Amino acid sequence: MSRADEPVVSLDGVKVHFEKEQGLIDSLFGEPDTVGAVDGVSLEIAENDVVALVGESGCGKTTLGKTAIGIQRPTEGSVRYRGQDVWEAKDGEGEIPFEEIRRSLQIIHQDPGSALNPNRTVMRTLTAPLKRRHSEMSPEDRRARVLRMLERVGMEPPEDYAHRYPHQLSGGEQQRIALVRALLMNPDLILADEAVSALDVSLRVEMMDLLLELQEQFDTSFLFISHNLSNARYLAEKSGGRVGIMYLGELVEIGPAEEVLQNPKHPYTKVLRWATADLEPEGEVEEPPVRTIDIPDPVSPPSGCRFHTRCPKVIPPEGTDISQALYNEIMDLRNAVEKRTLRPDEDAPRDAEIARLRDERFDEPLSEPHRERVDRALAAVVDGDWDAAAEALRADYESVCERRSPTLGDERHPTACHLRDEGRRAEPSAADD
Amino acid sequence: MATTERLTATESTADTILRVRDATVSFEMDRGTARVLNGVDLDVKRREILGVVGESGSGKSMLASAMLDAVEEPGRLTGEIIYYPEEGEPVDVLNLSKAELKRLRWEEISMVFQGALSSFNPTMSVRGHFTETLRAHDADVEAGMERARELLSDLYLDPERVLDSYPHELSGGMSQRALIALSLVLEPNVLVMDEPTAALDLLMQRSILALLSDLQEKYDLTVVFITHDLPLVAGLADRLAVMYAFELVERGPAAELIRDAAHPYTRALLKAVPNLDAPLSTMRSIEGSAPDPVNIPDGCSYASRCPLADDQCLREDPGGYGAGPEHPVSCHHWRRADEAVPFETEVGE
Ligand SMILES: Nc1ncnc2c1ncn2[C@@H]1O[C@H](COP(=O)(O)OP(=O)(O)OP(=O)(O)O)[C@@H](O)[C@H]1O
Ligand code: SF4
Ligand code: SF4
Ligand SMILES: [Mg+2]
Repeated sequence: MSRADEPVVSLDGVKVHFEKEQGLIDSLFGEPDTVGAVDGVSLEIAENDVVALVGESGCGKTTLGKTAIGIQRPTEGSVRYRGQDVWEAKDGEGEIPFEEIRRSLQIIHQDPGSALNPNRTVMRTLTAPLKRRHSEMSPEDRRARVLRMLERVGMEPPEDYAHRYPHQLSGGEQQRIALVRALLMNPDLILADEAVSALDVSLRVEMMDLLLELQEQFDTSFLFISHNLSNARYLAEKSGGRVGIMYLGELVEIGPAEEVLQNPKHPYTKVLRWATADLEPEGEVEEPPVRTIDIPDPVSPPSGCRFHTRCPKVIPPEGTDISQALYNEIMDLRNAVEKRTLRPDEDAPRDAEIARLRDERFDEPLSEPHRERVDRALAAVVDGDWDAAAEALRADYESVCERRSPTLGDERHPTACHLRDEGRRAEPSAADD
Repeated sequence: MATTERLTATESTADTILRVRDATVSFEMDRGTARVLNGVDLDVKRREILGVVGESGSGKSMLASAMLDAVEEPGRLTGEIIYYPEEGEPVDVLNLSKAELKRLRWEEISMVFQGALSSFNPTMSVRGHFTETLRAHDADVEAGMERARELLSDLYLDPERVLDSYPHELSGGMSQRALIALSLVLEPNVLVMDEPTAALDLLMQRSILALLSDLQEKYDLTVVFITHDLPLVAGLADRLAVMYAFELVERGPAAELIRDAAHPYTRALLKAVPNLDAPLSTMRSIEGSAPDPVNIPDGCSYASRCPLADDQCLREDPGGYGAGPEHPVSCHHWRRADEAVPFETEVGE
């Protein structure tokens, strides 16, 4: 296969682990904590491709993006640019020089203001990289090229903008300068990390349209990162690209934009849909459809499916006669027992205390055998034997979701969720929502 | 106060808790005087959630600061702000002593800003922030901490864990919620929130909004929620007020304003927001830019961007029309706004 046929970037089983900063005492004793910012992601980005990655803050989107453009070294797995391993090239082994790879993979940042040098005019900011890459170009040619590009991105008259400083530009205009700077490198792929969320709503569509227009003109691929599903939708759907959903370092669903948006398969994708408020005149504020609103600590991610501590559809053990709502409450209780966040009152009478803890957590009276099981565990809690309580509840209520990690298939629109694997509840989308 | 404005006459003021009249903030600059809040009138109603929406630079934070006489030097605030406690005499906020203002700010009207981390002292535990605030206001610390724990649980936080933490040990969403709890610990009646969730991801933003709606009910709060994100507050707010170029251009019941926005700017803003279901081709940016606060044009400040602008718009300030009994709008041609800026039909090239 020739280089041109190879994907621009392909990630294979990429993991990126960071050592967490520690206090002096921690670092003297024991292993440092590691954060698995990215944990086993594979992704191919073809020529002229648009991929939008969506997920919560801290889910590893930025780290994955930086790894894809070769500015973050993966702990495990490989990153290839047109078939060439990026980090081998960096070490001087490989056909494509690292310099060329770096030039071909560009980034525009979230905050355009801080990415531009405040003491340089637009012209200087934009001619500098040309000077470095194209030393053969005459200064006049460089200036002419910059002016043409400014015109291209709608900054007219270009001469007027060329001699301004960043503080004389609006946020949207600064963002366009950052985009032009990236495009002047003639890259194959641009990583746009939250490049529109910081802009005012009235400018977002315009900025995204500009990205798409340039993508077409310059045959550039885009890796677009956002916590905002509707921005991702706009960009990916308009370009016929894909939307990928990340949760705690893993890719949990990916596919053509329309399909992921219209027929989301992963319970987490549905949660993100909820989070993307649509303008409903009679809108009501509903409870978040997750069991806890905070993301777990990435230092010790949950076992099995990482979403199981928050998933509203977590799968009850086979043969257990239990409603989803009650099972969710029991799973939350298990979490509280494992984290030891219940506060039993040691001085209160034992039975009363058990009943109080139970009633605090369950809306409806518990049916048997659940009441008996819950009370047994709470008795252990009241007696101070947290481990026994956790163990007892686990024996009765362990979910397949915590035992086994679901894997992402390689279909057109794969998702990593046991509900799909087992075809248990036919279609987890429409019917049971 | 005698008023000749048509709009104030249409709004009922009986259950007003905070009344803002002709609030203006100006800064002297080399280039001239910048008016960053330009004669704003607003009544906040008791126990409502009012959403104030506007783009960056439109004057939202100035309005928030004005409500508490907290505009920073060298900004100059003029106008009138009256706070009506449930019992007792109305309070003239702009004529209070320092001590009176301090009491008002936490115990009657409390404020939450964007970026919890910068509001917290990094060297003090969260518990320290609560006890210090309670002491500074001579409140009963023990009862106050009991309330703090309840508020933290209301916000889905583990009270003991959070109280023992230092601000940097909490995630962005957790510290923002802790800050909301702190702002409520002295049982204020009004909570003014300026972009309280803008730095957080969408899921956390929406989750906090859901919690806020519960808090409002539980504690009978009046909430002023200021944001650039119209869809975010649309479902939460009872009423919405839209700011453009340092003025309020439209306000009304939330559902009515979303369905039948009467100002061309509001309509354009509604169309500019990408969403999940509308056809992509209906989404449109608003061309042009907002005026410079040093040179606010005569007549309507939206005229340079408005498809309906005519001579009258350039000449006359479009003050005070009513698109409904509780729906004032500052536009001469609001009746034609729905044709000029339609929601339904896709925008052809
Ligand atoms: N250099 C680093 N050292 C230690 N931990 C890090 C480092 N960079 C990232 N992390 C951690 O890795 C995880 C993923 O971080 P990342 O910045 O990729 O998230 P993100 O999804 O981009 O979040 P946001 O939307 O807030 O930018 C987080 O837990 C973060 O704290
Ligand atoms: S595998 Fe289980 S916990 Fe994970 S998303 Fe699917 S149903 Fe939820
Ligand atoms: S007053 Fe005139 S210019 Fe202003 S919004 Fe109305 S129609 Fe447009
Ligand atoms: Mg990030």
